[in-house]
Amino acid sequence: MRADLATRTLADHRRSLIAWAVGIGLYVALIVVVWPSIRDSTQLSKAFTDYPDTLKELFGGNASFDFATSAGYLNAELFSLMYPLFLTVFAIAFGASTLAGEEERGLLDLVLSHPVRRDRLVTEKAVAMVVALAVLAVATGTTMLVVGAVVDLGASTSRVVAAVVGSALVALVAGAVALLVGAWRGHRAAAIGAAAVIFGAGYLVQVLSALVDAFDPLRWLSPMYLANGTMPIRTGWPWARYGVLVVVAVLLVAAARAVFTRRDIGR
Amino acid sequence: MTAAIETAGLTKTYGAARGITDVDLTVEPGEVFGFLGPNGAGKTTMIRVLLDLVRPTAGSARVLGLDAHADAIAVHRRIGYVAGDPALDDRLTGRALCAWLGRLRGTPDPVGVDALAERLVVDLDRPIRVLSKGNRQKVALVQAFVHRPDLLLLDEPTSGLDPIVQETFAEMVREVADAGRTVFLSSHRLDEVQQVCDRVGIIADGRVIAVDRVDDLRARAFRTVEIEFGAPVDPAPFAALAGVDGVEVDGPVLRLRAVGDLDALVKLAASHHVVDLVSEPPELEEIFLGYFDGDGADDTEGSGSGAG
Repeated sequence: MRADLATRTLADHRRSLIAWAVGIGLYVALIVVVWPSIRDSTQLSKAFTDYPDTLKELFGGNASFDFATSAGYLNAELFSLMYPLFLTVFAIAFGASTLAGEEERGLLDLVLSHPVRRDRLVTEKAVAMVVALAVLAVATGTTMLVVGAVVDLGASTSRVVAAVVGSALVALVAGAVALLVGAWRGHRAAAIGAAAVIFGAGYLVQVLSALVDAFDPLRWLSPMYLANGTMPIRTGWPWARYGVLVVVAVLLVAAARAVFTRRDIGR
Repeated sequence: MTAAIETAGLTKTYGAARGITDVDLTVEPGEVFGFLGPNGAGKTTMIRVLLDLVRPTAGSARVLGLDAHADAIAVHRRIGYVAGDPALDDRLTGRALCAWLGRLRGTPDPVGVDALAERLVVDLDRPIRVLSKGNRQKVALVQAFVHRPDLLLLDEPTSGLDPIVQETFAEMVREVADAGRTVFLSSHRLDEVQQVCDRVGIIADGRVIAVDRVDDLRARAFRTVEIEFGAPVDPAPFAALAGVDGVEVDGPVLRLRAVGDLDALVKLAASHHVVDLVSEPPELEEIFLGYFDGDGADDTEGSGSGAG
């Protein structure tokens, strides 16, 4: 059977993938292109420094609020929220529509009346999601590096790649949550809702933990904290943390296989 | 010989009413079996259990000698499935869909796709989303028939097809049976079942209330007959015929219900001047009522209205 299910899934999402790559790519390019004028504007930098701490935390953390270096700028403008958020929204939409969405539309009935194991179907859907996310990350990450080279961004390529990979891993976990809830409940809306709530809550906990010490232990529950807590754009690859995110995604997909194999499929 | 379908005590209970209850059914190889019942009676549930899309609450289902659940993959290699109003990946063309589904079976280029498409008169080179409901149904039939599966599970397969295509469909089904392969077909239309099936199981409120040969079913079925004569006639000789009841007279018009063969009735009517004669096939509900009366099944209250 090879990977006919994954291939078909990717072909079905081809247009949406291109649209997302162009959209995020343009956003990223815009952020990078304005870097030289931000760098040269000391007033702007000072204005940001004078922001209240709470506001800074919402925009990526006090320590990161540093527009004097391109790494600080990229962290505040992209990696602390917007870039992983974009990838996450894409992954949640993908993870929710590819299994639960197709089930709601009745498309899985015909596929599953063929010699296709249900756990195999879930795995191939997950593989398709990983490939789509990888394409999106590579396309937008390359945009970042190429435009960065043009405007003399001066950021380390390895660290940009590390930060892009971290954001993609956040999105992967989010997409896997959507896939799992979709596999379990069979409803696209439930899958999107559950994944969005978990990630909204995770981000909130992370922000609060920076302001209120009591939240510190909880921030480890936030995928975004795991991915960007060490600020890979400044410090490079946090291998262990990325490893945890990969393991979590694999476990979520394994759970999705288990629940999907056991239940009734229906419109 | 191994039965094509064999269920014992098969039950699927959903939260409220829908589902099937205690279905014992055997379909022999080479048979065209009709599963007849109103919408909501449990026909689709039955087919979904046989496909392992839905797991039974109790009882067992064997398909082509294999367990519908434990051996699902082996079963699926040997069956074809068509749903009523099938959901198809509508970005594909019919041809691409058939090729993709063929790959899932390990036969990427099934022979005979074009011949089938030509026979059913459907264009496989247009995206499915631009096709009418009837044409989508034809694409679904093509993908199911082209692999020559040992068993075809067809859920309301002719909904949306025009009468000429329904004829073609009936021929295709007969050919499958003549080749020794089996067809299990659900329908809410008695005429369709009579046209193509050898045997019929009647399902109402999730229970199979009768399994009969089509000929016997017809014999038990009422027909409503309305004869308009040139002048009023004496209804007594008509009421005296065997199998006739409910005689009503309305001027020159005689209405009655007749069971079985109409020969004696028509010959008697022919002794008068007949202006018009209408013989209506019974409504499905009327057949069910006939079965309930005959079997004294009191516990199936609301069988006709229970559809939904």
